Amino acid sequence: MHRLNIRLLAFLLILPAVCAILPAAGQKVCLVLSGGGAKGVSHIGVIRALEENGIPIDCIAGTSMGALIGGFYASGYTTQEMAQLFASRDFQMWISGKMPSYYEAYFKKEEPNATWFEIDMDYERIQSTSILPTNLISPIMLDFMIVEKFAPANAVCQGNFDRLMLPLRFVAADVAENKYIIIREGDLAVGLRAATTYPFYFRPIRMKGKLLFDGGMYNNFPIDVALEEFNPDVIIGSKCAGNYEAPEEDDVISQLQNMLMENTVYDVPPEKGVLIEPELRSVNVVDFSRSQEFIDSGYVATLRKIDAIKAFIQRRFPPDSVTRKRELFNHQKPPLIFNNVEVQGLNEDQAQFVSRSLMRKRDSMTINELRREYFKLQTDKLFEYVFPVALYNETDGCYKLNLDFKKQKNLTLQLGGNLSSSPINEAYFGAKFNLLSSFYFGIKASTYIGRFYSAAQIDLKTELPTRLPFYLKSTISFNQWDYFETSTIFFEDKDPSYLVETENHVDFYLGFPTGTNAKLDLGGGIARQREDYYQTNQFSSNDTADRTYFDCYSWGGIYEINTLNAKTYPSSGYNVLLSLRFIGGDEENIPGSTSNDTDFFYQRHHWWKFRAKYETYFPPIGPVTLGIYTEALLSSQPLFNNYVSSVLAAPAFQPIPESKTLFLPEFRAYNYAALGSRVVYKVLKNIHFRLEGFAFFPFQEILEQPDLSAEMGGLFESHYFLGSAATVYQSPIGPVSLSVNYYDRDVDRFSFIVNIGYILFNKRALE
Amino acid sequence: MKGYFTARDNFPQSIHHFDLLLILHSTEVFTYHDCEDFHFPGRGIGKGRLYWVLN
Repeated sequence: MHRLNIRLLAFLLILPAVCAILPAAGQKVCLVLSGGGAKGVSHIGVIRALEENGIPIDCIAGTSMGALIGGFYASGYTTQEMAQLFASRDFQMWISGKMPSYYEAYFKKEEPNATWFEIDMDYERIQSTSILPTNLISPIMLDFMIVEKFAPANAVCQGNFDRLMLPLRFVAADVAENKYIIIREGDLAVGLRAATTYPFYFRPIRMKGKLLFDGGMYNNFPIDVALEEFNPDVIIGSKCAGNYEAPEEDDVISQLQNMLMENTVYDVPPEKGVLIEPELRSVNVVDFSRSQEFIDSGYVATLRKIDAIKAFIQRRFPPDSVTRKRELFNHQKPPLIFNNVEVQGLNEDQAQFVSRSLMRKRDSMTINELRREYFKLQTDKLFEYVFPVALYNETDGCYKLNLDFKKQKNLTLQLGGNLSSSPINEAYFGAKFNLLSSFYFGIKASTYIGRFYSAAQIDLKTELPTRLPFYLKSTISFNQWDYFETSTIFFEDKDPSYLVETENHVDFYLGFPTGTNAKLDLGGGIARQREDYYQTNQFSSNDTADRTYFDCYSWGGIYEINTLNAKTYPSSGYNVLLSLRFIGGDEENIPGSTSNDTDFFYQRHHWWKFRAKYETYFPPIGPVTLGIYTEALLSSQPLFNNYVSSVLAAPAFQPIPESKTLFLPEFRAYNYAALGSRVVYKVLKNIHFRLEGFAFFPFQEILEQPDLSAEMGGLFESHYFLGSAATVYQSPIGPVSLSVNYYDRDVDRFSFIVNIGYILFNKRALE
Repeated sequence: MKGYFTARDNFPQSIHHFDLLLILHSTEVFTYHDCEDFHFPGRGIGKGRLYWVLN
């Protein structure tokens, strides 16, 4: 009895204290994260500051970027991991829709050509009144990232967002019903992708039959969702967006924004909690280049309010408790191993091509293997769109990748060329027809039309999704280069051209990808080269030119690794090229009226040729990038009948675009080595200034004799320099360049040239 | 009259902003009053708002 009384007394004494603590201990704290595009990364700083101060977060409600950040946090990611991700260059590439070159399968890429833009030909689209694309940014990279980051957490919560590390709710816009919907269950990756579909930037997706967009359109600060779903005691709101200003007559973007986005009340009732408002500069919705700055701003803004928050919330949750909770959650995540691919939107043969290309007859694959094959598959743009979903199968502990495809149109037109201040203007047209079945077959016809260069080419390519991938390709090509004697820059004073090169060839190659960015081509072809030239500058319009034919065959192999970031004027990446080729053929010389020879000349030649090239750009130091260039060519090539034909048959050193358009005997030799360096100074995002210098060492120079024949000079007797200073703007359609070039020769040492587009030609037969 | 300038609340840019703001405050119109220091874990001390009073 006595003991019971003591217990009762103790209980009565403790009761008031317990009553005082209980509401605090039971306080449910909900974090509400607003939308705000790139500015939404400031939420990461907010969460970091709350964590560091032991402020508990019991549940999260978010919109748009707030949904994504909330999704990451509720899926067990630390603020540091999130900060690293959003500030990374990779993320900026994903969000811009551009595939980094290290993911692009080099063997699937076309040979570089002068395309400015491509048009997918679609009868329905031509008929349709809608000409606007559904999205500006390709979501392929982003979609895959979302699957990769959220599939394991989705496997743990099994579609119930209450079972994530923290209960999570977010909103998406149902534009058909003109209202927002709350997403509380389903596939986490799909839900988050839907909730972050900013109109026109990203392609909308369907969830349960509804086409969903960014929830920010109807509710950019889901405090009502938080109250309704979680009934929290305290709300900590993080606001990184505001309502748009009233539209202006001549500002279409502001008009659209006002039409699309309903005004939101960004407010937390003072009795209910605290609103954190980081001071953020305005940026484009997808400009993540200031992520770290925004994270810091969120952090600082939270610290400013931390006393007010602490006054609201007596409960503390030490940072190591959060870490333990996170570790426990992450421990349950099954590793991303895929053992099955299911394809929708394609016919059976096409589906087989896709699943074989991805799995390559493996029983299972890791996420890294899958990512490599997945992006490889996207390189040749056979598909307009693909939406991935990873489904976890508890029985075998692996994921199934569900892919919903929209096939690209079969026919694509390419338009491009080069506009130049020198007479090398050209137009480029191409038409590609792709056929996808259980194998891939592509045919492409292209033409260059210009006074300097004209060409027509047909490319055929087939690719099989075998375990060891390979492809077969064939090219039929007709080319003509018409060099002008004039070096006139702005106006043309057209003298008779003294050199016309014609080259027609048929090639057949068997190719193997030897890595994402590497390929090995083995094969050969036949070619007819014809050169019309005068061996002297003293000729009139009545004279006939000398003509040299070279009918030849060649076979060999080319190994190449290429990660350069641009077709011309790259500023990052590297290129390795090794080629070994055997060439045999007949030289036939028909003398013209100014020639010293009067008889036909005929001779059979054959030789080996080995070429090695290495160019690389080092990681940038601030705005400056350094690059080096080396090239060596060794061959057993013999001299041709006369000096001009011998020089014409010699491989040329052409490290800068303009040098491809000039006939420079000084930079042609049968054996040579070359060395160069580059300095690229990044002025703005797409504008750089570059300084390039090269030294060319012919082992033996081809020398002209008084009788116009050729003779080899002494060993290592000469060297020549070549330099270029250029300002380049990499515009969306191609480079716009302004360059001053220097060539180490007797006349016309300097040239000044402005180009809009690409100085690119079809690959030559013996290159 | 009191007010503040914001130094963009981020590190390390805030330090440069802060230097610039201090130069502005060497005029006799405003007087530097106080400023916020924020410790960015693992990176250092950054400056937040710079408070001023009108002379």
